[in-house]
Amino acid sequence: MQAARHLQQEAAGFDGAVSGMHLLDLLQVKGMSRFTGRIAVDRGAATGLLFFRDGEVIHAELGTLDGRPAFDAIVVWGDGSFRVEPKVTTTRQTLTDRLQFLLIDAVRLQDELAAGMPQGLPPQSEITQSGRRGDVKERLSGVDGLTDAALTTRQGEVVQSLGPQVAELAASGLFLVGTAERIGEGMGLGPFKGAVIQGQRSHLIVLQGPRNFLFAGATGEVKASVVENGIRQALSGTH
Amino acid sequence: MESILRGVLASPGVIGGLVMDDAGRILAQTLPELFDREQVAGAAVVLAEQQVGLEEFTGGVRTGELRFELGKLILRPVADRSIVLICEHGANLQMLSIALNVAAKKLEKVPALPPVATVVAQEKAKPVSQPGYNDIPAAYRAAMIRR
Repeated sequence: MQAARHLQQEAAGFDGAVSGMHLLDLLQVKGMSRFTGRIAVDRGAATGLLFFRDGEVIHAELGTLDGRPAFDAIVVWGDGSFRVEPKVTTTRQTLTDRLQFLLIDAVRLQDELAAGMPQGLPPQSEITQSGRRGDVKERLSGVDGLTDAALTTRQGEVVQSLGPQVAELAASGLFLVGTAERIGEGMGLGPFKGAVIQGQRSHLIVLQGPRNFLFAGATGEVKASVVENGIRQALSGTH
Repeated sequence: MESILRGVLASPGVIGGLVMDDAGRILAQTLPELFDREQVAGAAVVLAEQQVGLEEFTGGVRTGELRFELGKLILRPVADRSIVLICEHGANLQMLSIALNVAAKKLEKVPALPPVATVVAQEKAKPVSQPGYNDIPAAYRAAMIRR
């Protein structure tokens, strides 16, 4: 009787809020119950689709993205709403990794984002179906106190920028990284991970991702910690 | 200066600390024995250079927080000297900030530096009591042993 009711619910599908149940928890539960069907996750203008077959995620779609980039972009969303649709399937297979592996990697990704490390996630323009631009300039332009930002490669090449003092900011940031690496080695503290320098006139914030540095300059009138939190929120999409 | 440092070291999550001048010369230190004194001295010089290098962009460093895989380093310039703390990741920065403010006030009152040679000689004659091996976080200990 209970099983019949369960099946009926499954067939009808249900809605839920990711803020009430973590998306990763939902995926784990669906994996354990060997779910086949689709989970649609809505957040603002974007809808991410995760297709399951026998408890494994076989395909992910988000705007123009699919496969792993789409999966990674969906699972780092901190909020949104989802629909479980058991009857919807696909013939496409863009994901071959086991769900447990994907989930472990998703947790790592979330931790790194929470620590403020840019992950080279796809720009918003590829995520939202409206196709609006979503580069560093757009994502960080509303952060309180932020005056300049430079996203560089590990070699120091500026790939995206915001503000009038980008060249000075990037030069100071790279100098900071270079010296900090030597300091970390000397003090036995291991590899450099980031920095917040509070200045009399301007603050310098350095966040490090696997492939990039994000250097941010902020006015000294605003607390550096406030600016850093604003940047983290903007990067994780909750700004 | 060591007593000033010890006041800050009482804050949770602080592994050790030092006071250096604006050239990076170490004036006082309370670091666990595992730290290689020569390497720490070299790092202090780089730290002093870093402050100078960042002056133009920042207008002068008020506090610095450098984050590393095994911990973090907090720097607080006080006139021509700086207090440097090595902390665990979990160190409470707000609490530490209060302790650093107190230490900075005290350090301001400490008169001009004695010659470095004198400091070194004093250190040799009267070894500073170091934090015990077991006071150091396990991950940090392991990393120091690997080096």
